[in-house]
Amino acid sequence: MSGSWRRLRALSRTERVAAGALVASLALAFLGGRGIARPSTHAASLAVAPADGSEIELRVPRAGGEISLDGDTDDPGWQGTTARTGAFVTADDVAARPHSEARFVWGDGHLFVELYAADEDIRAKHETADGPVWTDDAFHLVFSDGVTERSFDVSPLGALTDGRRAAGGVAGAAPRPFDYSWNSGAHVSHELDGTPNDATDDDEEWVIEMAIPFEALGLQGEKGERIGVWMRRCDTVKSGERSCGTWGSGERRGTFVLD
Amino acid sequence: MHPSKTSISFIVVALVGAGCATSAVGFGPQPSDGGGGGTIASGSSAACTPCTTDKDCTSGATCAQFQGDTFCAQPCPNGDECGTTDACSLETSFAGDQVSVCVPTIALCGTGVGPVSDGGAPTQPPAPAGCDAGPSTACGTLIAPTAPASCSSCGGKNTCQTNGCYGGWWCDTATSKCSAPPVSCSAAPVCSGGGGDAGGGRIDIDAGGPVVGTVGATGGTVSRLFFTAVGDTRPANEDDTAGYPSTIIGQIYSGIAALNPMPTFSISTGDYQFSNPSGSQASSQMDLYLSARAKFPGAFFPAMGNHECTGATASNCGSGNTNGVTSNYTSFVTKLLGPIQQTSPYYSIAINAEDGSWTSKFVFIAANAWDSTQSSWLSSAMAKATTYTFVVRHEATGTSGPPGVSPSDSIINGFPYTLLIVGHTHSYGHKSTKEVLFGNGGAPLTGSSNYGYGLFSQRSDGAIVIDAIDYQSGQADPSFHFAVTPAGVVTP
Repeated sequence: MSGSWRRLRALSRTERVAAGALVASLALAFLGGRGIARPSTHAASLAVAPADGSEIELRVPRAGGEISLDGDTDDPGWQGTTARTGAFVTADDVAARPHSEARFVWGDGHLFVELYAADEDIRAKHETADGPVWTDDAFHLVFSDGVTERSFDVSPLGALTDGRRAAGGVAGAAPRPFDYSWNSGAHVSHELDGTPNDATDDDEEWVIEMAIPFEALGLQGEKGERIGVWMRRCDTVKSGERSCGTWGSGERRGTFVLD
Repeated sequence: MHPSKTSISFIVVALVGAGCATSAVGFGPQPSDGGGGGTIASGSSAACTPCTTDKDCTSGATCAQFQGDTFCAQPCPNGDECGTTDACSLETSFAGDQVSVCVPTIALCGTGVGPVSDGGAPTQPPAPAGCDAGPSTACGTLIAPTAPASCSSCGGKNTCQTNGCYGGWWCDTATSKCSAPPVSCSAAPVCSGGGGDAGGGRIDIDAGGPVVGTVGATGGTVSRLFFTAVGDTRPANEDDTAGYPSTIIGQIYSGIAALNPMPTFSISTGDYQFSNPSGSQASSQMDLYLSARAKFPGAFFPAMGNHECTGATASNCGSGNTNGVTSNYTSFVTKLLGPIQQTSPYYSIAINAEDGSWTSKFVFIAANAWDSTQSSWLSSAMAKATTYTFVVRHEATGTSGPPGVSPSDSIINGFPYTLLIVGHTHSYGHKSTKEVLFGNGGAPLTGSSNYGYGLFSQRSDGAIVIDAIDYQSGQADPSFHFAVTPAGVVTP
């Protein structure tokens, strides 16, 4: 990467609001004697296995240790077994460029999400929550239990726009809009290596670390629970061309299974 | 990413641990690029003792095929038993079984063109002119896989070739032993038509004729410059050793080893890890890199990247510098520089013509370990007159942050040089007349290009031809191809 290197990080609106409560509740759980397991010596990942001819079933393990929601992934909770998407792909099912991938673990009532985006020209202007962050370089995650869809759009600056709508719709009709007044209670942190909105140099990457409460997804946080997932990351390169990579979309729809 | 913490408070999420580590039971591991890695222990260095069976080996060593012949090597079933000059590598035993053994990364066994510890002559003859267009079936006493010969090492799990070997190896009729495909050949080979594959999976890209000579840990002499540049090999996430791109970097070095002629050495532009600088993963990730690098038997000269310091682009490591001696730095110096007998992250290597017709120096700058001592050294190193000067540095000119970029730019611009070879950006490109980028060695790609490496070839007119090679197709990118004179002027 050329140009000045900066490490930027911010907490989302929801994180600022709820951080204290989260620390308190989780610390209480810890002190209650459940302890923290040591991460496995050899980190591994759970299989992305087609459950049938089309579905990608990703088994999400419980975290093996603590996670500091700081945009870094050197925490014990990320060092053990994690669920990996591998590279997001194009419509032709080849690795999308620039590279994107995601990892997941769960524990203590939250789904922990790590989104990685290689990016030679980070473009991000939205810093406030519930704005049109999808016009930036951004990830878009949708969780669906068949009744309700919950969307999470997050930018390199950690700005989160979360929305909810009824699943399904009338064939041929425009999809219902998401209700962005909904607040998932998700916590977001980010880290980026680059100079946003400066195309004169080469950036390297940005990372989102997010904790989504299971209740916001309509889940109880119990082993064996399933939920449909698809993800997209779109990026505008220096030439101005915009391209996207996806996981779990189209015929190869994704499903998370809490393991 | 910058591993150090900012002053912003963060949320520590204490997770329920009981039973967590075993939650994966019943599900197979994802086909990731890397393994769990391990730490290298002392000892167990292979001694390059030739062997035919295990009976020829002592001290528990096993007889395995690597680096062109069969040698005794210490087993490394756990991956962490090898010494600092070895890498644990999956090889084929004399009996045809897959075995993990400690393969030397320096003083390579039986390699003709490549590093030798004693500076001796190549063990294999030079290649004939005129055979680039197709495969030959013989090279001196070596017989290609498609021709009948006296070897009998195949069978069992391996499919026999016509020559009695397997896996693309050639049969040496002088010993009736199988060996890796010859790097080059001058012994009146029988040339036949055909494609670019010489029978052992080798790829003919370079049309510049044979390469003869030896490049070892401290430099060497060759008939012409023919080398590769690889850069930036790391997982996307800090300490994600399981996500190390072993498959990609392994395929890159296998591809380099399969080139015909095989490059005499390879350089790297830095970043071999993404490890917490005070954590424990640096050693494991370096081991994974070395394991992949061991697939190429030639010499290897690495530059230091910012991830060999703290990971921050602006970091500055080394004794007395801001970030001091991190575990990332120590692993780099020990595991990658140790085999070439360097103790400093900046150094210079001389590689000259066998006939004395030209000279070259490769100047490796450590912009993330910058101090006044390196500044003085760089001025002295650049002042040494050579026909070619290749400067290798992780970050490109104009990169703000690394303490050594701007001052080293000032120094090198005061001297003639051929090319500045950089990495850091996970792509490749001809950045300016005298600057070329190769950072697509396995780290997550930032641009639209694929993984691969750079190929540098000295032409008969003295120009250096540079190509970007795709690691999967082995093909050069025609839109990248260019050549420069020794003075760094672009030439047709």
